[in-house]
Amino acid sequence: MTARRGRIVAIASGKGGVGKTWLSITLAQALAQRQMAVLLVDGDFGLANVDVQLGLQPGCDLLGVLSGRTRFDEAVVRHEEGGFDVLPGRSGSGALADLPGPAVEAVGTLLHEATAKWDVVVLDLGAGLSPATRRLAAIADTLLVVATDEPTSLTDAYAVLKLYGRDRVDGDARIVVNQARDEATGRRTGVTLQRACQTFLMRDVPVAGILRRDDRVADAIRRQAPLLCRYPNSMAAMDAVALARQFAFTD
Amino acid sequence: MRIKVLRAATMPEAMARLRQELGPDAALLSTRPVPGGVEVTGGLEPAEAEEGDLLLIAPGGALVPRRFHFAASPTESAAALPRNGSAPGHSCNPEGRIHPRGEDATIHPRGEDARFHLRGEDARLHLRGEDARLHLRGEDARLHLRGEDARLHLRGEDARLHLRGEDAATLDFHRVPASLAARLAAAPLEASLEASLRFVRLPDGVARPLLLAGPPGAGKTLTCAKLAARRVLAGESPPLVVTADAERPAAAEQLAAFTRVLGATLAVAPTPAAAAAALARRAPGQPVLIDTAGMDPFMPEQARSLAALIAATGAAIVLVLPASMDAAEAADLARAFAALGARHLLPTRLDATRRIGAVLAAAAGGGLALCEAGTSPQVADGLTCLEPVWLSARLRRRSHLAPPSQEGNVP
Repeated sequence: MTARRGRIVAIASGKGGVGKTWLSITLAQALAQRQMAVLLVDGDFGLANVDVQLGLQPGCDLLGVLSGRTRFDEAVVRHEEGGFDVLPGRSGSGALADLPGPAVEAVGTLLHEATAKWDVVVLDLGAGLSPATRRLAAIADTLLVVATDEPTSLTDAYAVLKLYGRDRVDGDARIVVNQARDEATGRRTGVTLQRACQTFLMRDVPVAGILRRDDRVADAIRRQAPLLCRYPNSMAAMDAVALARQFAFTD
Repeated sequence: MRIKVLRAATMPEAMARLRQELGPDAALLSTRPVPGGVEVTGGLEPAEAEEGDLLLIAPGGALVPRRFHFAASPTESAAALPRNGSAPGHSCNPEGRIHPRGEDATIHPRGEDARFHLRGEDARLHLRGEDARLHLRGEDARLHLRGEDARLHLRGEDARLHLRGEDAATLDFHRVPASLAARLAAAPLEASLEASLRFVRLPDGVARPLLLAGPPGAGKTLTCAKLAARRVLAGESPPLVVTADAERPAAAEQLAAFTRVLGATLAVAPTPAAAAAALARRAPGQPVLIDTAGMDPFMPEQARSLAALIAATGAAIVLVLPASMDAAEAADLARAFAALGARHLLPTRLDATRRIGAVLAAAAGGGLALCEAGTSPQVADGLTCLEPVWLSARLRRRSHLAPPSQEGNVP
């Protein structure tokens, strides 16, 4: 049994298109800037795109590790500019999209083993509430649920928190509001979701961060570069750094 | 959670509208002032589906709309099946009895045409003792027990019946129980199988749903998928597949993987009431296959659960048993399931089992009709129609491996 050093932070949303992968990358880099060893894992089985957003051309990926063709350390790619490591997924892989339960458990074991080497394992989960996504969310030490102010995003994020509460009664779930028009609006969105959890789930889910809408995010994604590299002083970059600051990750 | 964002001139008006939209249980989640009034966000958590409620999973994954109707009044297409068992009566010596007794009691009729005939109204052969044996040897060895109440009793710690001759040796290889082997060895195997056991076509599940029951790990779910696949591959409309397996969480997932591909609707029905509700949603003329949780028919509670499911669905029970079972255990299980209403036997794993005496023992013990057998792990062509000719050939082959000339699913 490998001794654990780090923690697993999973990023989920329920609804797609709310900036989950972007947040995973930006949080990974923000944590790396705090002198932490960070591994970013693309857990969006079947629709992986961390490598696309980062402009990586990985030769190996998670599927290779699971199938035994590739060693775990061979599949990990270093993002030099961002200062963190990446375990890519594979987009369009039916094998990953339909990952059976035992294979998902194997991914969980891999993640736990990774915490022996990395301080933080950031896990970018797929949208939706598939059994695989739920299982992986449940093994994380912290689950960040991303929502925007759209009602559909709020209800989907709430659904994720509701099921997570069943899967992990004592789990550490937190709300992150993305694409907020401003700090106050984002706070209101976060509190709306927080209140829904208090009212209907009898569960207090704190708002961990508000990330303001910023055109430079889309620009950085288009250029396949991390926001903190390309626009380190942008509003969204500063918000992500503030979010990362909340995580002391000390046992 | 359902969510509603609306604006009104005043807060009381906003709340009134919120309750109008979401109902009296609506919760106020947030408010903010806007030009001309206030914006409120309300939420409502609808009641959870009760555990045991029916869930219909359409091939596309969406819930099936309530567009199905009750099928026309079901008729019993499966005629009452004749029971087999007692041997035909013959004129005989009414007092014919032989009782070899003792530590090593044996009778050895030997020779090319060795025969041992006990005839009479109450003919009985009792071999008792620590090492009781009856050996019939020869090319054409036969044991005939005839009469209204003919019985062969082998008792003792290590009692054995040895019938030698080609078919007798075959039955011995397959560990067919002694009394059944004696019956089957009384004539050429094809003929004796046909005379001693019943072979019927499996009902199609239209008039009555087909309910697959059996012990855990028998292969019920895979068999269910095979039956559905065969129908779809034959160009017929997909059946309604119901899983009543509330014990194994992966069962629905496993079946859903097949039904998605087959374009069939899967109903997840953890209770008899939910299963009945599922049947109410089937299209007219649509066959129904019901997969159940593995169960122990000797456990009264489990037997009651199955009986309740049968009562709720009116299903015909097909016992699914692995051919690899111990023959005596298979016969006991068959009797127990027959007592619960099973009339058909569908043995599985004939492609992975050399000795299949359990199949014969179960069919004879439970008075079950043989219909199909699982002969391949493939879903598309994994079933073979059981007929005396095929079964006798399989028995004589003494192997689960198909001979080169009979590769595939050829009876």
